[in-house]
Amino acid sequence: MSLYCWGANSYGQLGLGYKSEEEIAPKKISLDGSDLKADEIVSIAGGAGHTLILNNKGQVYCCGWNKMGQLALSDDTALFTQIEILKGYKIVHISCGWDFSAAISECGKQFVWGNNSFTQLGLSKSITCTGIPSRLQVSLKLAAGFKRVSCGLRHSAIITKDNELLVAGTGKKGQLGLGDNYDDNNYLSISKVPNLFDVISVASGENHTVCLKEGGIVLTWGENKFGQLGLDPTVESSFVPVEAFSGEKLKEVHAGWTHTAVLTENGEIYNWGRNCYGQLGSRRDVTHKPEKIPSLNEVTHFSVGSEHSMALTKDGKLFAWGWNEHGSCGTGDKKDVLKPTQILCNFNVKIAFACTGSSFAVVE
Amino acid sequence: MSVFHDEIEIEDFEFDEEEEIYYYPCPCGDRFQISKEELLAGEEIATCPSCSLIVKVIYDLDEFIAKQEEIDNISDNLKKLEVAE
Repeated sequence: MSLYCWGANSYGQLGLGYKSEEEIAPKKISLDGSDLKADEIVSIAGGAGHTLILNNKGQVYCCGWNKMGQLALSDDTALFTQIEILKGYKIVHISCGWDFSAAISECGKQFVWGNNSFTQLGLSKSITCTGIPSRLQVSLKLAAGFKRVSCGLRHSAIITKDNELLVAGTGKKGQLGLGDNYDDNNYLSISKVPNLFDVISVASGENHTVCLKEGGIVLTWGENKFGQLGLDPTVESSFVPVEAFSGEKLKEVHAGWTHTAVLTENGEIYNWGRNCYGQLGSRRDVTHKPEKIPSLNEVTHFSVGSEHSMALTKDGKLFAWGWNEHGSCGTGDKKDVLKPTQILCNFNVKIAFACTGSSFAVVE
Repeated sequence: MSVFHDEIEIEDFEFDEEEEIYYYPCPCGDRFQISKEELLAGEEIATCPSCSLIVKVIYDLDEFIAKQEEIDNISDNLKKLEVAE
């Protein structure tokens, strides 16, 4: 199996060993001499200029921009390099915000590193950034451990062991869901969203957050400038969770910068929000109302970057759509992709990930 | 003139004091930027060096100028104080 990459590479975030404006066509990453094996990759996440890879041994590799310590290395690197400090833990989940990173271990510990100037790591306000993965320690009242985390532009949302939700970072646009009187200055760096239980999936966008509750209820909060909350855009924002969508057998939620999506158990995608670059993958008269992407079925794996998305179907076909100025959609050109378009057509794709402006796929 | 990708309030930009440049993240991974000088001259378009997207900076020019003058006055006074000492 091989690892392919494409899209923005100005910080060397594609792991090709060099920086370039962008890679328009998918390129194979040489992993010769690296301990990282393509067939062991389980997850890839990427921020503005950095990428994290998680393998099935629980090891985390990184490359790209390290200005805020988001790589947890001593310097930038354009080749995937293992994060030494996490070696003692079996990591099972990773997420990247704009310039910060998070990882959760099998035993429910969360590690955070990178920019904390908006307290997006959940660390004390006195820490502006850290290049050392720090264990997130909270009182038992808040959480006994962590399951999943989604990092956005300047905030994070974390599902606890008890399926409640903790939020950290700026809540200026309502993205923390902590209520109408919320003010960054009057809150601690990490808080629990009140009266929210049974959370099974969460995603953070630029200034909004979406979560899925057991039983198929999708809640959104934060900025609604482009209808990303599922509300008419005349509503500027919501500082409390609102119901955006519901349905039986919903599997997970995803967020681009200004759009929102849900993957169902049977492989359908519903989405809403901004559609100016084809983010929703279909023409819409009204963009703030959830609608199914008509041309896509039997999606087994789905991921969303800042303004582009990728879906893998049951038969190993990979589809991409959305903003494509840096070739993030992998079509080999820079034209925005307005509907799901198959890429890497000659390959059986095993798994694929849309990061902020870049993309990765493991192929057979 | 192409369409704005977004309209962003000046408060949401991060200011680099050494460079005197205001930055806001661009979805491509780079950052929209506009200098203090440009803002003082009434410019309101922040550009991204890596892509074609542009954003409109939402700010009140008079207020911005007044604030800068205030900051300049304070630093002038500080300098005078240092000299006096």
